[in-house]
Amino acid sequence: MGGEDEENLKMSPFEGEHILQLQDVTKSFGSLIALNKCSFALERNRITGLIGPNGAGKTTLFNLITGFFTTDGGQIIFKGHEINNLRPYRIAERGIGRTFQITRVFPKMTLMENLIVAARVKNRDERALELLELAGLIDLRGEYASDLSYGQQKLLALIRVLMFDPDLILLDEPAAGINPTMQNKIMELIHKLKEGGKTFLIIEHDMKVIMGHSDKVVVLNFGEKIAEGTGEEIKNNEEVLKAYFGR
Amino acid sequence: MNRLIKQVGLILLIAFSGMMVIAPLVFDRADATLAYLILYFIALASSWNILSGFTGYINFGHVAFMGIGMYATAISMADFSLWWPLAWVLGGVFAAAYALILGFPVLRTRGPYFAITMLAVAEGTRVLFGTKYLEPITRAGDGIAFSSGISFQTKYYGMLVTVALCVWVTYKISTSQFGLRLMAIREDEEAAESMGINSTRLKISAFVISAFFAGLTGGIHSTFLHYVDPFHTFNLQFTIIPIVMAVFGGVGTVLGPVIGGTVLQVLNDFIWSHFLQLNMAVFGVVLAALVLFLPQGLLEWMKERRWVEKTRRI
Amino acid sequence: MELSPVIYNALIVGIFIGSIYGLIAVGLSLVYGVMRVVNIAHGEFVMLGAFLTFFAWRLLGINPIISIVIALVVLFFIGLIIHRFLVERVIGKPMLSSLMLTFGISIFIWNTAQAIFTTNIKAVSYLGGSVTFLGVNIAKSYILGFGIAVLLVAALFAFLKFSRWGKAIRATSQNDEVALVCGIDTKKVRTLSFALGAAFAGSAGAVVSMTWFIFPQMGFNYLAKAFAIIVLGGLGSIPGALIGSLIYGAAESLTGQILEARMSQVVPFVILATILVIKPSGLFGARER
Repeated sequence: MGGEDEENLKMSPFEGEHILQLQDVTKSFGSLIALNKCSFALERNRITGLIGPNGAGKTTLFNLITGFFTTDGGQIIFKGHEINNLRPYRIAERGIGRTFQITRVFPKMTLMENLIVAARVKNRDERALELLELAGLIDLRGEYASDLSYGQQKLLALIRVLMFDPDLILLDEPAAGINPTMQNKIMELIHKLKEGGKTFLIIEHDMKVIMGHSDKVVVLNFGEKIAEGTGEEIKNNEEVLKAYFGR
Repeated sequence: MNRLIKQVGLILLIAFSGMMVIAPLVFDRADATLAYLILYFIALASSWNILSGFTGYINFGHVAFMGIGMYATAISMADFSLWWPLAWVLGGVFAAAYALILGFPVLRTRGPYFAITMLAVAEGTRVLFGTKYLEPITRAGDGIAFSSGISFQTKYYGMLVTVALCVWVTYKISTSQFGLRLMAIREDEEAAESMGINSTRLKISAFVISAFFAGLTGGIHSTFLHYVDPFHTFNLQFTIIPIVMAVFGGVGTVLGPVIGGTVLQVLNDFIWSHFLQLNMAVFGVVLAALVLFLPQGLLEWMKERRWVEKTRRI
Repeated sequence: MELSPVIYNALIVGIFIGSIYGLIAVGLSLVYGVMRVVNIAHGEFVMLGAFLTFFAWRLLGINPIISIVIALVVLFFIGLIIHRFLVERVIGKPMLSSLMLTFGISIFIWNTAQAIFTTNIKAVSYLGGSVTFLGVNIAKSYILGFGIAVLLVAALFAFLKFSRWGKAIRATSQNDEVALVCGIDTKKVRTLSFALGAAFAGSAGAVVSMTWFIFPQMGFNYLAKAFAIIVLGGLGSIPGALIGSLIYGAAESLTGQILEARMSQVVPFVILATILVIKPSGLFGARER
């Protein structure tokens, strides 16, 4: 996996169109510049990886895209419309979903309730059951989310995002802290969803995951984009190596 | 064992409801008045619970809405001779309107901001009703004394219907997506927002509903007291006592306020007759003890032990 | 700039009033900053300080100015006990718990005080008369209040900046987990902060006893004002609390002069509402959404 998939290209009706564009996005906290004129675009129906050393600004970028922070400069354009300073719920309504680095499921609500809360359709019970089945959590549907294992919570967070059917899904370290079997399960799910038409932007530190599953990779360091390209290109990029290994 | 407890619980509930329905016809005036006050406090606790129980936004100024309702009804009857059912509903409407106006600035805040701000709002409302600027309408410190021309039975059943309605609405909310979203706000408001939940709109809705019932309750109660004035009407204890009752019974549950209201009002009645002056101090201790030892409330505690079915419907 | 004498007068007086409120607000802010608890019983500490001063004066003939120190010490210990046995137990629990707990403590204190001291309004008429300062007539007690506030706040700043415990307090309020890992006994830090907050409130109460009225339910009023001030200045920011208190004092004073005295009591609520609408994080609070 990782290279372009001819079949997918032909099937996608929005071939080549950019679902998300970041133009000169800047964000600072007091004197700390978290993001400095960051620009790149996401193609529809692709998995894009977002990597960089700690503190590079990746989660800040997520927060800006999803409306948790306001930009200090630049534009964020989603499906052709500027979404810069909209409130998070509006952005979700438009079709962007996200998960958090530390899972934020609703602890004292059951799995079923966690899913139903996010639904925007009439047949939400069915859809919830479908997704629980897909994730293999169907038997736990009446349990409180706080009683799940860490990996199970991550799965729950992922399918919860799917309840409102977003076109673009931002995943913040989906593979972190869980065993390889669960990791595979999650990545399988992501690929299945990509085939179904979804676009992904994934922050990850695990290089195997990124290289093995992304169509494209964007690298940030100190709030700036230092490289962009396929996994292979990134692996051999001077700037990237310098950022990670200080060579 | 659990089954037995559940059956006993159900029987108690039915017996209690039955008793409350026939109270004014069967009891003497003193006991019937106690029953009325139980209903009154249940209504306040239950209406408070609609916002604070589900969303977790602790409203320390609930008395403001009750008070507005009391004044609205009093003024409409005293100055405009409005027919009593309309006057009562008007109380609810004015309180709801007040909540709608306040909701926008105040509910944009989180946690402690909201709690203390509402405390300040309640006090501010009290002061406002006492100032000379509003005197023509409110008679400021003198208050308004009026006669309602309604029988005790009417007021009693009015309060009973209010309680029933409020509990029913709470039940409806707790089993709906609206209610689940309110609870999501309580669990993690930001995460909820990231899933498309418009927390502000939901909070304001719950706030308005909560205020309506508080205002309606106040409206009925003003006809019971035949008197309103800033000091007594907006007294802090009408915020404190319902909160302690709701916490005791179980915040966020449907029947929690009912249980809390009943148990604690009977207790209150007892304390009042023996330790009049330390009435509030006892409530303070009860509240503190609840927070330290039984924060989820009696009903939730029972649910955890499976003495009661673990469902949102109760 | 030519200011009408009424306004000028109100402004100057307002600053003095604000300083007394500031003393109260600083304690509240310190506690919030260190442990994210809004102490609803904070106003009751002021009340206790006031009553303490009154009875020390009435029954023991103790000079009220000395009582400022006595109140400082006594309330320090009261705060210590309340924190150690009650408040510490809800640290780390949701906000609701600490709000309810401190609410319960607050109710208990003022109601008990009411039962013991009755609701008769009292005052310590010790520092009567006024002094002319910058062309304005200022009550002597206001001047005292200002002086004490400046003294205590300066002492606090020095303590926070230079002493070991002060630094520990600052570290804990910035990041309590990291502080813990660095070997700071955060529990002791919290107890100390709470006790300090109570002490400041108590000494403010001693000042208040000479300035305004004393009655069991007076606490809430000061809590509301202190809260409005720290919201204005930004939750958790002590400099913000100081600046906020001066602005607040001026606002209250002006309102009292221009409208009626009663309306000046509505000031906290108006300020709160305004800040919440315009900039909820206050003057010096964090600027995030």
